[in-house]
Amino acid sequence: MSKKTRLTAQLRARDTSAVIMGDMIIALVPLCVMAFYYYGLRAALLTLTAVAVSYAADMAGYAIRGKLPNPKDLSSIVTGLIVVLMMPASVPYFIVVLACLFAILVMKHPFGGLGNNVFNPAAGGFAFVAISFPQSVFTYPVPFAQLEPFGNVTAALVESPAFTLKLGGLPTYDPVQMLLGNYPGPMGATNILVILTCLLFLLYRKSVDWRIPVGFVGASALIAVLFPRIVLGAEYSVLYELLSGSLLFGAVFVVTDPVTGPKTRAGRWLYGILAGVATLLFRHFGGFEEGLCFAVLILNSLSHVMDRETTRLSRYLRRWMHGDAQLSEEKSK
Amino acid sequence: MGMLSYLKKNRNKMRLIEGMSYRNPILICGFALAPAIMITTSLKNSVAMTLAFLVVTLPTLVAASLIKSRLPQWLRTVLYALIASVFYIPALALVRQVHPLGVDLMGIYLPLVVINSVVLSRAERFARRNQPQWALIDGLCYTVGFGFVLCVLGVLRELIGAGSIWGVSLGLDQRTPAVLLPFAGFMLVAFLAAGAQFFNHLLRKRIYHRQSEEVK
Repeated sequence: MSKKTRLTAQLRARDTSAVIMGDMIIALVPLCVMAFYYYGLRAALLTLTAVAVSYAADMAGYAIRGKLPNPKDLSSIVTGLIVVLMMPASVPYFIVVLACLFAILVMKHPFGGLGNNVFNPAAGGFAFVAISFPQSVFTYPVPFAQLEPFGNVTAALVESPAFTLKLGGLPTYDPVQMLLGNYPGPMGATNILVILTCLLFLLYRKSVDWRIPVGFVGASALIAVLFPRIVLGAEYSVLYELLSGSLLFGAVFVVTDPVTGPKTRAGRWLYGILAGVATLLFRHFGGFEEGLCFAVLILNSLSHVMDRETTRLSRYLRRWMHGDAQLSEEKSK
Repeated sequence: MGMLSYLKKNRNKMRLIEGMSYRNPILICGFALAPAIMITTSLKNSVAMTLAFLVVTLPTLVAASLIKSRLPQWLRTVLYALIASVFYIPALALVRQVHPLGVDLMGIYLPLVVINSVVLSRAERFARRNQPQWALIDGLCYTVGFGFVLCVLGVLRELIGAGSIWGVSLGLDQRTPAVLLPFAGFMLVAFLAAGAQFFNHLLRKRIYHRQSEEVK
């Protein structure tokens, strides 16, 4: 046959190797450093708490399931870091602990543990505390405010630009400062430039598939242009929609999870685009200012369906385009 | 252990109390999950639902054991539902006495207890072929199992979600109203079911070891 055969899609992802997890941790460390730079010791302590609790819960989860705990398994550290970097620096410690415990012991191990989880544990943990304690999770301290390292924070808390957008207003932050991260928002999700650099690093290391972030950000930008929440103009709408909340952070770390997303190329395009559309839908019509986690959870349940249907559609398409060739070859013999 | 050897020897008799020991209707059989998840937001709701369940299920099971197999199956099933609806009237009166607001709080799930899976399943499987007194005890055990799970769920969700028990506020600072949402009910039932399966697993392991010891 003259036409090239395509590689069949792997129907099951490779077991998440230590390399991918190591790359993710390397990509998340600069965000932790920036959180420490802007919010001081409390941010660092929250990060350490999240990592420790996630790791311990992961080992406990293995033991509960009757398996030998694998000390080299770093995936729970990634989950803990993602969960804590989406929270404000003023969040109480018990909320971080609760989120990490929920993420590991409810969203990951009951579904089969590493490699088998249907839903993104970090998204699930954050969604749980976002629903349970919205006033703690969605109010942020101003950067460089003095935050108490332990206990609860008494500094003044403000709303993020995402909340301003939801009310229909225009955020008053300088876009350059927003790129640098000097505005109130989630600890790790405000540093846009650092996130983009981490995305380039992960793409270079091939730890994430470029189709998912590109589809996600592209679809979000398109919806922001078509249905702006700011009346000033399309470019402002796109700018503020993309830079507010944890959209870009989620595009790099949450949506690109290899285990919970689709495995085929077309499936990944579809997943990224639908995630962008769903996130913006949740932002417009949902109860909270940030809808990334809920959108990701819903689409995780459809990952396998996306894989299956895109391969089926591409098969039909190929058959329709080249269908007669095989028949005519057989007839001419 | 004395109880376990008794269990082993009297397996057929232990099946009489299966509803409240190793075959919990909600956690193991998966019956009546809708009330267990949706209305267990407070202990009062749980107790009221259990009382309604009791008043509806027991007479229906006794009636089923009196009807036996005289009618065709399709007619039997319809008759069970009709008899249960008749006994819903005193059940509703009882709920109004115990928890008057509960009739509205529980919405559609209180009348739905009329066609709950436990009564239909036990009527067809057990009550039909046994004498009325055994059907009554079987129904009672299933009600105890049902009520136990409902009350555990009610206490947990009310404590964590509203900081009160039986409507009496305990003055707790930390409340998580999200626990009163259905998703938390699903997750709590799932974890309790895992616990019940684990308990059954332990029981089976002990019985197996005892049996292999006695064989040697």
